[in-house]
Amino acid sequence: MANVELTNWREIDIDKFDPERQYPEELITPGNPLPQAAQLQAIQQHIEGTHRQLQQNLSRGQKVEALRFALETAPYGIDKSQPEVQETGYVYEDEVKAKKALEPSMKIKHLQAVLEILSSIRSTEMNDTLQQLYEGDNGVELVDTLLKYIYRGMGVRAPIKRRTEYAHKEWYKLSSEEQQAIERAEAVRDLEEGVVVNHSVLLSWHEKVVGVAGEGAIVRVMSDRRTV
Amino acid sequence: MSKPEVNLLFHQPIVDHSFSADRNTLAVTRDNTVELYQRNGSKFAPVTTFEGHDKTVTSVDIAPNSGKIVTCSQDRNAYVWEPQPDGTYKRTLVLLRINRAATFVRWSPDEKKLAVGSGARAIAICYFEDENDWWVSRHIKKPIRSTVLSVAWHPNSVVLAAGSTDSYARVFSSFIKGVDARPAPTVWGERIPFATECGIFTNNAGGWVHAVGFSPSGDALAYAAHDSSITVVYPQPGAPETPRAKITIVSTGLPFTTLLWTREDELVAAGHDCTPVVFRGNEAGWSTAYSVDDPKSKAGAGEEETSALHMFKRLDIRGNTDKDDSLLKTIHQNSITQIRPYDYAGDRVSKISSSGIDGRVVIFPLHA
Repeated sequence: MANVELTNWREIDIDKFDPERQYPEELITPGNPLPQAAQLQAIQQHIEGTHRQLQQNLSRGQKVEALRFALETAPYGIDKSQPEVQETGYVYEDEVKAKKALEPSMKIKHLQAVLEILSSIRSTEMNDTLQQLYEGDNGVELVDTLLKYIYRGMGVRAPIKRRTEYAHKEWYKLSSEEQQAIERAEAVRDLEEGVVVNHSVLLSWHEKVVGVAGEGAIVRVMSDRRTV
Repeated sequence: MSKPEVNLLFHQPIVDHSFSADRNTLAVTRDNTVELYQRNGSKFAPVTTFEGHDKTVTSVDIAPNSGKIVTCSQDRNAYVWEPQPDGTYKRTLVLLRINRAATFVRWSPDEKKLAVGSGARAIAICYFEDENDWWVSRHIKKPIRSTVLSVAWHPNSVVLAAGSTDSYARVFSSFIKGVDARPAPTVWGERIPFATECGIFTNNAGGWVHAVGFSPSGDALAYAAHDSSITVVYPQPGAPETPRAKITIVSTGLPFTTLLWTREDELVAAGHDCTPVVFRGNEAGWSTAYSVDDPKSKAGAGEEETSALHMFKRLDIRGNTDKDDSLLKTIHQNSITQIRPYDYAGDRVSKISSSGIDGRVVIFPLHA
């Protein structure tokens, strides 16, 4: 018998000898409304069209329409801008398919569009816009989606020290995990290049959204697997 | 409307509580034990402590007719405590055969069976075997993908609902040959063998399903999920995935973790907002009716601030004029873990009891 005191109980795989053990495939939650490979091209075209439509709405000053449209057409699924989800190895089947096919910049483009709309709305108009959105069709879900974009906008990475900016010696002092983390962050930063985030605008939007939809909206965004 | 009755039992979380049929005995969970309290005037006095579980007790339920008490714990065991004539309790082990914590236990309405939810992605349906003088179990496993957080019995003691952390609320058959008589057909189906899935429901945003409950008739199911919502489902026989009506009420507050039907068109839910909320509706739609212990309607800690003397005193002592915001305006000072019916008026529940992480058991009267 192994030395009892040296055994790390938490690391023992107690399911190893369970004949009825369920395998991870069976534990994958299906039904997440994500694009299937076949639909992806159509979705991408749709998103392209969406941005044209958004620009039109915005240029005509129809900001609520623009916002509503952007939120209704929000693309879900995983793309390269969310490496942390891929890293965990716990991705869902649909999302794996989506990840392979969904153009990485699509979600970022959409994020950019939403952020543009948000900063184009003056702080005095925020409450009216929100009320219109909230009381309209499917209002609760749209406001939840808006909150997702607010958090995503806040999550846009600040400029980082790039791989090339490290001195040779300095770089090889880092552990391989640290190196990988930097390379990953760099990849994300490349994708997010050009996304303009006005944090003070996002903060006041956040305050208004929570004022209208309550703390419930925050909880829903946290529990929702459909990330933007 | 009379005032709520507040019992602060101790300063530890109560994750589940249960009253006896005459409402004079109260069982509450406390760490690895279950404590039994006896009503003494307006107070509850401790009488017995059930010891035997090695880990946190997660659920307790008193059978109203037989008085048997069932407890389950993170130590993967459940015990049935049978009252003896001399006032002591005889403990019987339930053979759960699960390799993860037991999370929730409830007696079936006919008290012949037990349903135990667990972290082993299974529900153990337990029944008593006379020959061996112990409780044995059969498992409902597939298609549960994650921990079962709660179970609820249909009035016919065969249909069972379960809420799980895989964000689904499911309805199963727990029919056991030799224990159950063949039940009359219900909206959930007829001739349903053990472990048949009679319904499966989820929300767009997902989120753990914390609580499930059948309406008094058993024809509707409600569940509370971590997306701060309550969903009421009216099923269509033979079509488990396409109910006749599915109504979701989205709350602006924090998620509910427990719910209780008070009559066919009304239910109460409570959770992280520390106050029970009443919902009313029918197949056409549901909406929030009122909050039982509404923090907004109370002046609470603000009262004393009207006095200038108090304000300056506070300024002197603490260096600020802020009122004491460490106290919630609700009676429960922390999340409500479980609500149960306490009293009935006709066919509706007129009083509910709630237990909370703050160690309180509160009896709230409801509006008629």
